Amino acid sequence: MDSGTLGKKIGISEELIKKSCTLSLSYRFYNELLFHVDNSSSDAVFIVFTGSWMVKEWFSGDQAFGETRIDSKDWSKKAFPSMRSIGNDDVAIVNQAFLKRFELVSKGSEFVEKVTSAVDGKKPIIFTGHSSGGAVAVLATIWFLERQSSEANTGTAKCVTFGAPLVGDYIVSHALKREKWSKHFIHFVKRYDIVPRILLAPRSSIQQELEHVLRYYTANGHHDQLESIAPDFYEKVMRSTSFLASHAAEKLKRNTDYSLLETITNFTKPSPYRPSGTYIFCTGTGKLVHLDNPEAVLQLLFFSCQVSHKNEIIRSCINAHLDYATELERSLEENVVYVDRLEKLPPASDGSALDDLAQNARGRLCLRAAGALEKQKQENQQQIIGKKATMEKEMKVLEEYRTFNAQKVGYYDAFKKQNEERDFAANVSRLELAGIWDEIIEMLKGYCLPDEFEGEDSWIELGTKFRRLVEPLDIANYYRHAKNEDSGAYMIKGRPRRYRYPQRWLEKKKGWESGACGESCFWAEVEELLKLASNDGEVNETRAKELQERIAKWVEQGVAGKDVFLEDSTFLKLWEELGRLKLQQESIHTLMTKFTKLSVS
Amino acid sequence: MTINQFSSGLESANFVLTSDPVHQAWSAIEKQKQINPNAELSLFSEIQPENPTIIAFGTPPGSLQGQEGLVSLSKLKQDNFAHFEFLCNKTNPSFSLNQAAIKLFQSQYRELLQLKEKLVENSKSKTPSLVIITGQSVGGSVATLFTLWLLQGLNLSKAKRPLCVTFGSPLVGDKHLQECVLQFSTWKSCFLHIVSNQDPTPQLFISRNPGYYKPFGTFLLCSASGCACFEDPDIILEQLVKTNSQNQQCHYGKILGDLKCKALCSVLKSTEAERDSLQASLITQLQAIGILSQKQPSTEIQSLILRMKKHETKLLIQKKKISDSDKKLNEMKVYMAFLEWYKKDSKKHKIGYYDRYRNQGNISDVNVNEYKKKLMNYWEDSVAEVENKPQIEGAYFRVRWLWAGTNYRRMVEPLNIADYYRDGGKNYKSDGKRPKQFILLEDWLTKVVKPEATPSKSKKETVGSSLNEDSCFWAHVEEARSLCKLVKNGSVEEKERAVQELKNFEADVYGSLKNYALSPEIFLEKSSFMQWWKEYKGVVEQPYSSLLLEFMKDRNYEAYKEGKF
Repeated sequence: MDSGTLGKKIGISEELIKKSCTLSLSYRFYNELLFHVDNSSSDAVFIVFTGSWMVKEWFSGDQAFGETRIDSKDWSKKAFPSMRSIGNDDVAIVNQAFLKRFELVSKGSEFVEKVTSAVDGKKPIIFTGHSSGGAVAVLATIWFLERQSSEANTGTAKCVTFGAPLVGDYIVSHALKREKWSKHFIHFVKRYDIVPRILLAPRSSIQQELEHVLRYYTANGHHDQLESIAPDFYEKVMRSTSFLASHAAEKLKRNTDYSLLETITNFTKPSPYRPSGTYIFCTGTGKLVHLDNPEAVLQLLFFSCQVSHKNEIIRSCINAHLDYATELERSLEENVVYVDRLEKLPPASDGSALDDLAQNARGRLCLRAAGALEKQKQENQQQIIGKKATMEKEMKVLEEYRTFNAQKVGYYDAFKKQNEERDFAANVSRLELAGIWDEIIEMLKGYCLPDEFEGEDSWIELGTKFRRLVEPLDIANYYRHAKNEDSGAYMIKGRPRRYRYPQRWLEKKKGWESGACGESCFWAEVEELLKLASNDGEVNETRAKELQERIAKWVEQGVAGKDVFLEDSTFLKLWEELGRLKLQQESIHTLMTKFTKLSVS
Repeated sequence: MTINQFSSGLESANFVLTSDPVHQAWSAIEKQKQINPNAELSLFSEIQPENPTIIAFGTPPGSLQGQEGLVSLSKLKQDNFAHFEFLCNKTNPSFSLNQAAIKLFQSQYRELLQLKEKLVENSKSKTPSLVIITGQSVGGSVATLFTLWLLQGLNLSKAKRPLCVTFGSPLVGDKHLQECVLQFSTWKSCFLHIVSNQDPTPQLFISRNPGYYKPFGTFLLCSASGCACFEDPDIILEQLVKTNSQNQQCHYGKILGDLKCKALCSVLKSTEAERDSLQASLITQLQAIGILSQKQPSTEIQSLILRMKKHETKLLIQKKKISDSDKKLNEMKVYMAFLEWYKKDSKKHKIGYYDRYRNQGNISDVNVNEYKKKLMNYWEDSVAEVENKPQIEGAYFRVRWLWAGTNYRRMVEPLNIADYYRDGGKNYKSDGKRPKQFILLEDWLTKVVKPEATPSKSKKETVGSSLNEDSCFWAHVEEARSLCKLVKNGSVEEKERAVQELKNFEADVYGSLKNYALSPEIFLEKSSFMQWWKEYKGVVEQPYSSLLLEFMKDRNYEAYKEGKF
């Protein structure tokens, strides 16, 4: 644990935090306004999002927790291209009502205009909001970061929220870390504020009470019924929070694969929402605790709100939401406690500020387990880095093999024929590499590597090189053993994840559509079309045209080998068939003459 | 690599307490008691028809008395009751069940069968309802038996698993039953047994039959100070025996309510100074179930913690082993690639890989021997594991795995045959010398794949690089060669028999050729098959004509190689 002033650590001054807080709180009840731009400061432009206070503005749609896929609408699919897990191809889930509210914001002509002029003014932008306004600020910040093309432009944007409910699932948190955007998000949560936990309960369980609570907030603290519903509300929200937190902690701690929990989650589903970005807990004793491990934040959302003497505190759990200004005023003067190296956290209270938030051994062990997971991910990555030398060595073998065959039989066809000893050696190299990459992919599937992994250029490059070099051999192997006969086409039934994942990484990096980087697997389409041509005697015209166009493009770009045009190549067999079917493309013809200087009649 | 290991017993307990099914199950039991207090007319009631469907089993009075013993499966079979036989496997061909539970089960067999069929039917519908099966005391034991029986009928690759929740129930069976249930990788996760340390019922049978009963599933052990989940059967047994209260019926509704409240409240600050995560996790669990107070643990407790630690570490090693098996599989692929190359290289030398290996004339043959051994070791384990899987679970898992196994069998068994005959062995197939792994692999394949009437186009085209479909082909050739000797030197009777067998073999070979089931490598100049052919032509009476003779005379094997015969 470490301490020091907050401003330095999170890159935003105490003054700006206080101003965000003041603005957020004073703009929380503007029914007719979605957001407000404040230019009064010389240090930053504030874009403040107002809150929404109807149950339907928190929970909409027919899902239990009001959730929806972030790509469920065309505009949002375009606005949030990074909010997914790339290799696994999982799309982020977000709260539908907040997404809808942000849609209204972004579609008004004013918003984009104001943001653009703020960017032009070269002042840092701070997106901020209290309660549900904070949730919308999160979406706005992601939208902003997605639009900025380079790191330089994103550097100064910040999102500062106060008592905001959770917005998205673990994929949002994963994607923010991967894009290195996590540090832009700073969430202040008061220890006993119930609101950040509300979305962890299913709508059906709290609908009535929530209506009262929200009305209480807008009436600014005068509501008779609150007294009677508060205990129930607290209990239901906390029960769901405990349910989710213990579900997450069980996964962190257990030593087995299957457990009773899988069976029970069929009956009761935990909320999909998870914390993301940086959290600063206000302990209520004038201290601030800073955490950026989302698993640990989730545990603290439960443990810090546990109460010992019920009734009194339960009332304050609801009131706590309204007053962030006083507490911040007091705490920002003090030093902040940074909690890292959680895996080393002592299980007994140690006199630090964390004692206020997690008092018992169980809670502290959960935090420790969250730290241990993060550490394990780092270690897994180290283990893979340790294999880079082997990967380089084997790829070199294959590169030499490719060069050797470039003039004669061709890389693909030589391997498919497996006539020489070097073909066998290449096969061994292929298997060695496949083994290492399968291990990597297996870890990515289970989110066992650091979230940043899929965003790192060095891995994207290595993955691309591997994919272009080795996938043709896998395809050759597949069709050599005629696996398409009993299993189906390679692209549908046979393509290993170790090629699908790196392809998606590159497509994501380039911002291209899915399938654009198929240069490593065109041989599969060649084989499929050849099979159709020789079995049925005909080939779909569009497919033939598309394949030829793509091959021409890739050969010209140098991402596919020229050996595809060699005399004995499988492609030449297809080419002949296409000639018979009058489907040959001129572009291929030109390239052939250019590269092979063969006369093709 | 540092292992920061934990144990999740407290988290599971909190998760269970804050989930719905446990509470739904208990209120179903209360309702069941109201509807049918003595469970006389019907042992069970459907308390809620759907989402979830809840079935509650009652406990007829007196059903526990004098019924603490175990009944073996074979005894039940004598009484024509064989409904739990499906649980058996190779290592556990039998097991025993508690008398009281199985007696109640038998007494309402028809009704239970109807219920089972209904639930299985429901699982296949478009919107299947989830199922909770529950009961207190012996009612819970019957619920456990019924759930096992139901699991057998469900297709778990599609249907959601049912949940069985018991409250203060005695154990249902012995250690063989437990082992059988564990063979199904996911079944034990369907059972939640809730036991209070104030409830004397769960330990009833154990103390009167020490060493016989063994639990399975997750146990939620509850005390006044809290609760924790346990899965280690030995630890559970130990804790069950420790309860020594004489309360008659425990009110689990109240117990659960209190614990649920407690789960949301902050307990006292901990003073535990333990730095080891696993140790600290286990201590908090023992505190929760009330057998460890804040004081220094006794030596007895210390030894308990040590055993618990061992158990958790064992689980972790098992988990790691599963992930390591993928790596091993990859290693095997490399060995197979090597053998494939060896086969190809042998062909160039005009001798098939079978005969080259049999002659052992080359240094690289030594490597082949090593790879063969490694592959055979791997597959021996792998086949044994699958064989021990219960039929219903195994079948699903087999198909994907079987193709690799078949390829392996066709590649490696000839090498094994070569070793066998080189060392002077005879009658490989009939003398019981054939390794079990090959027999099983072949057996399983024939159950999955129907033989084709005519070979497909691609089968013909790829025959050049294929393996003999019958992995024992070379053993037949070896036998045929010694038959030829017999025709030359044997007695009249022997001769007659040998000639007949040779003719059969010849016809088999021709049939396989028609089906493109043999590799053209058998026609290589130096192969044993060609040796046999020469010898055979020498001993068969002239004039002789046969389909294979025509084939050989016309050198049809040249066309065969190209798939054009």
